[in-house]
Amino acid sequence: MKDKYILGIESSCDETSASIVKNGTEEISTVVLSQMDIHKVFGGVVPEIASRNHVENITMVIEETLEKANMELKDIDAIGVTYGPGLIGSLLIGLQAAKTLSFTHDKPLIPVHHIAGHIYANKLVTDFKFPLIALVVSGGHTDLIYMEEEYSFKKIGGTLDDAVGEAYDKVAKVIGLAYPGGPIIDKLAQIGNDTYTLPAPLDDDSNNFSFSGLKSAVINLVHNEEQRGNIINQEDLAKSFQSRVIYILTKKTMRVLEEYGVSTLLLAGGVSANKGLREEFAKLCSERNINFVVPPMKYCTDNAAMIASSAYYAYEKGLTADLSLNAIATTSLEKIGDVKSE
Amino acid sequence: MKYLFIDTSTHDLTVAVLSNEEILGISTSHNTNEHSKYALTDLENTFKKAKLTPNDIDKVMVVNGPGSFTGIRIGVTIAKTFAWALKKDVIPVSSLLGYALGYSGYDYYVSVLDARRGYVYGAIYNSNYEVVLGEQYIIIDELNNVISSLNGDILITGDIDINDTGTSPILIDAVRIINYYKNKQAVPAHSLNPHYLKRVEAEEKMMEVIE
Repeated sequence: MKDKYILGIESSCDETSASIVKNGTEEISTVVLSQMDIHKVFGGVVPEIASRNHVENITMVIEETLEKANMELKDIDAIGVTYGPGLIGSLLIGLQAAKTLSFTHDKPLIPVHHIAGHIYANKLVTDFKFPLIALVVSGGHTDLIYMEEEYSFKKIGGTLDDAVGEAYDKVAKVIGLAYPGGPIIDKLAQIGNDTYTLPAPLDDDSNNFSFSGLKSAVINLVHNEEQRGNIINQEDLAKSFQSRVIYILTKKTMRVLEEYGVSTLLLAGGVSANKGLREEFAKLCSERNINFVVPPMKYCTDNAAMIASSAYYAYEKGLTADLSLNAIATTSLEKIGDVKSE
Repeated sequence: MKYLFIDTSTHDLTVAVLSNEEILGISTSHNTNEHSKYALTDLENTFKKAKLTPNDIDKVMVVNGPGSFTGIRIGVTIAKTFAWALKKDVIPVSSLLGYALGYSGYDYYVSVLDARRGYVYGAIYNSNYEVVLGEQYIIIDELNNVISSLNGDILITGDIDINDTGTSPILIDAVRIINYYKNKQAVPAHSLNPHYLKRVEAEEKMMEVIE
């Protein structure tokens, strides 16, 4: 079979990225231009600033990706692009660039759901054994996905309010940590002790998550302590918060694995970089003979390699779009088959 | 010389392919507000009508602002990607001057776009379309003061009424715009950017804090 080279383009939040991946598994070249330092001063991503930066950088990022691969646009077999979910103004830039290249070079256009991208980041390091369960944890998502076969997704649980990464960043802000605070909480938790009393979030029989109650509990605790004139122990509070998060994520995920009789767990999304979460899952999975797959750090955050990989498998399934493909801010992973009708 | 012209600065989306002064294909879809969805399909259809392929184009001209931030980003992203991918020249076109070129026979042309909260993006040109008042983000009253100091026939065009004389609709005349801009300096595709005329609000607030 002839090798297939897919150009992936990702611009759903504050990273402008392009990548070329061969046959869905072999990363040839990737460029990720992160705007994190630009948004840092604002304490979070400012959508209009993100859009402005994407349009400034998009062609340079694609050019550098091709140069690194020593390839030209004509050598590409298809173009994969994130169409959602994400910040609409940001998504639009990658989407217009991808559609334009599809037109100028007459290449198939493949719509990629951002979460499918996060899951398929794992393809860049290992093959998948089906059926499997994927837990996608990031600043925008907390989803439990059941995959019976290649590129088939069934959502079996998710957050009812805040995404886990969102809760991390908000808690970090309240404890006085810099943005983005998630990784700092993880670091502090490594040296802290679980001393603060915090509720276990939505500890029930459902497969769903809720982090806004836990977040509010931390905010209240910090305010109360401040009023009493007590100083917060950042390490201990980080550890206490992270312990509750890890407890509920691992508990519900391990239960779902058993319920569905599945022996492979994929962790994906930005929060999968969390050391505490990785270690706990690794321990629990090894105890129960579950094959645990987690992407290397560089594939955890937003990148176009995962979009190109995902696009390869979407293409294999015949999922392509015409030039009327639009960006969608919120869209379910289960709707990827009918992108055009949305 | 073959040109591709793109305007996504208003509610109307215009895409045209021209050979010198002859329009080979043009598409204007009115008031869709879905430029993201239709810009490329309109482009594809326009090339089909013109019986040309993307590579036949010599120069790309795109309206890069001021205007709806999202709107101009769509046109600029398409234009810069097209120009970069096919190694073509790209020339940015001012929306406000472009609107003025939609009319003729006046002493002055005032182009305005609603920028909300009592502001417009505005500019004034003379009968030869030379700048009298440069493009700016300006309070409507202040612009009216400038207008009242002008003598002669004045045409106001845009998407907002700024005084009781009425505002003529925006007309995009691709042929006149291309004629006006064809000898202007092309910019490298990578550095083609929207011309916003206004900072992001979060940045403005940050500046206030710093000052």
